[in-house]
Amino acid sequence: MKMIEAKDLRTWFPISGGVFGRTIGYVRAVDGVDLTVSEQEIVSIVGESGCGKSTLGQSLVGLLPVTSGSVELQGRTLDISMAKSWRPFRKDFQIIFQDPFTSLNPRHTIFRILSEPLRIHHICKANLIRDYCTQLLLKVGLSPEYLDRFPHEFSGGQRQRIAIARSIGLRPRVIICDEVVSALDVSVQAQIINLLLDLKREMGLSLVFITHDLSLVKAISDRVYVMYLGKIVEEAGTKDLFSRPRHPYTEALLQSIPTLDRAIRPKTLGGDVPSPVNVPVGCVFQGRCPYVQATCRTVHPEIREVGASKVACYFPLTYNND
Amino acid sequence: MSNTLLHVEDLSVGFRLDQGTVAVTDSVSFDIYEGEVFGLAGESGCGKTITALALLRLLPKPGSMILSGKILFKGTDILTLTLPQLRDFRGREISMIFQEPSAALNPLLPVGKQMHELFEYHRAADRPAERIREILNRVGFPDPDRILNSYPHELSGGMLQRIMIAMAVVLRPSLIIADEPTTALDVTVQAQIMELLYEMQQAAGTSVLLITHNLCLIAQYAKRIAIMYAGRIVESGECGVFLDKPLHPYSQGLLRALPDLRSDDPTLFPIPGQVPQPIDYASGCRFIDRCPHAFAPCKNKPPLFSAQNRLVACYLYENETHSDDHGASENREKAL
Repeated sequence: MKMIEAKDLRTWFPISGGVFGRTIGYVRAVDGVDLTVSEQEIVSIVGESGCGKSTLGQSLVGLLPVTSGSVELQGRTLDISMAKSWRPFRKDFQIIFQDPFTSLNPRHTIFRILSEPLRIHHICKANLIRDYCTQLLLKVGLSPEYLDRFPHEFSGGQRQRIAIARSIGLRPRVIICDEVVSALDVSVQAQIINLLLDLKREMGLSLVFITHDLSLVKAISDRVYVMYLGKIVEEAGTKDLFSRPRHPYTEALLQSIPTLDRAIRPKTLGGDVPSPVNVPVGCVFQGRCPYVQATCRTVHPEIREVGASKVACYFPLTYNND
Repeated sequence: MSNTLLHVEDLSVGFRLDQGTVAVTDSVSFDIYEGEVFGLAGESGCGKTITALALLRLLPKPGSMILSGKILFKGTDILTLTLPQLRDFRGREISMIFQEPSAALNPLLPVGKQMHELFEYHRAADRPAERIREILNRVGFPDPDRILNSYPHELSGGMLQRIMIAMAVVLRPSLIIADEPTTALDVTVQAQIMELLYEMQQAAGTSVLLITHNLCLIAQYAKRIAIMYAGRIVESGECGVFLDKPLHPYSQGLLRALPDLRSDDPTLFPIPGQVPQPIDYASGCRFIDRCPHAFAPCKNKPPLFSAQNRLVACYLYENETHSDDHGASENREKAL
């Protein structure tokens, strides 16, 4: 079963200006995205800052109002015009945020942080809640004696474990992980990722990783979406994406990452990401693309199948034995 | 062997807390030679930025101070300079590029005005306007006039960092300290900035102290590397030798914890436990709680042993050290 199926999803933010605060334009943060997440699948959404990947994640779980498009969760179509249509799905669709320093209420004890969602969703009886929370802490590798402490007493990695404990307490089916390790040190990053992967296997979760870190994407995901300026430019299985990138942007991303191998120098891509307010006419990547041609400046290419991947490009990269 | 430009010896920096003074770095020593890129790597809180700030005596005051040590730059001890001497010295001899370019520039002044100040202050060039245009051209702005009249908020992070690089190199200093120069930037922009910095470094023969948590960046650009953990340097040596075979258990763990884009094995190997806080620093080896090889001697502070062409602060390599002092010190020279 498809856990998430979004079609032509748009999340635009109005920009108001002038004396009367009229809407003078839109930030097209997410602009016509198709995305599916199957059961027990690990899907990654990668892109640079400002490409709309976090907005996409939050739109999927109803934390941001969707402008247009359709969203199906667990096979049921939602009325995107009403925020409350997501409510029955909150329990099954959890999200963990990037910064564990702001996602936990500093005035609440860990027990309160963990137990609040349990009470709201009537997960267990009132007299068993403390035991349940103890189990949660053990599951994420923290000592149960931490229950009565406050968030400021913990390091970043520990806080991220608490945020994970809070979300798995509801026994969700999907967890959206929005840059969950980018605030953490490398040695701790791997701990958190391994914890999430263990929980995924144990609980049969689907995971959606939103990240800018391609090395991480390669290590964990089954399928990858590459986003640029609010649009998906390439979708492929992890192996295909890394061995034969089809979109020039994907290729540039892969080449610009420094590796430990001193023989391979990163290649640079000129220019900056344009602002999502003034999206260029034609292909969103045309301003920086090394292979740009006249056709690219007409309309943004539809996403289509090329080899085993799907790519939004008029002149996708080809390989021998395609 | 090229000449030593900067010699840091036993540098300890302390912070004044309620509980008393806590040393956040402990006897940090390293040398930077003329014309080389030296990488200082470590996780957040290990003391790498504090060390960099100490080199220019920019430590936050009050609250922090240099407890002991020597910083010799071209033979002059920076710690003995008077304030006016120091002001002249900063920017002209050693310049710095900070992590967050939007925080390093004054938001209320156009970029051109801020670049001019540099020249006014150091009374450096006859025709500063020309020099500024020329340097902006070199860091990749074909139309400098537009940039000169822009305010920082009108420019992107990558553009601001290019301006910071321009400001750092324009007075032709001998050493540039680049503290996490690309951490706030996207990967495609990171590659641009690093290439630019490297190009400028190569062209002018400047030395660069590259401080970052990203080992891959150091692997790509640095000649020699020092790894810091919990306020101490635990391993230092030639970058290539280090990457082929890290010796310190922490260095080994760090390299294994990195997801590698070139490998097909998706398993990640975390280092168990967490980085200790300065207040909890152990008197012996500070990696002891997380180390898979910890044994009895680790309760004492490990000195830097020279083994396999480098310096490593771990008792595992105690017996590899040459027994006669002369050989050891020679080795130490070589590794440094």
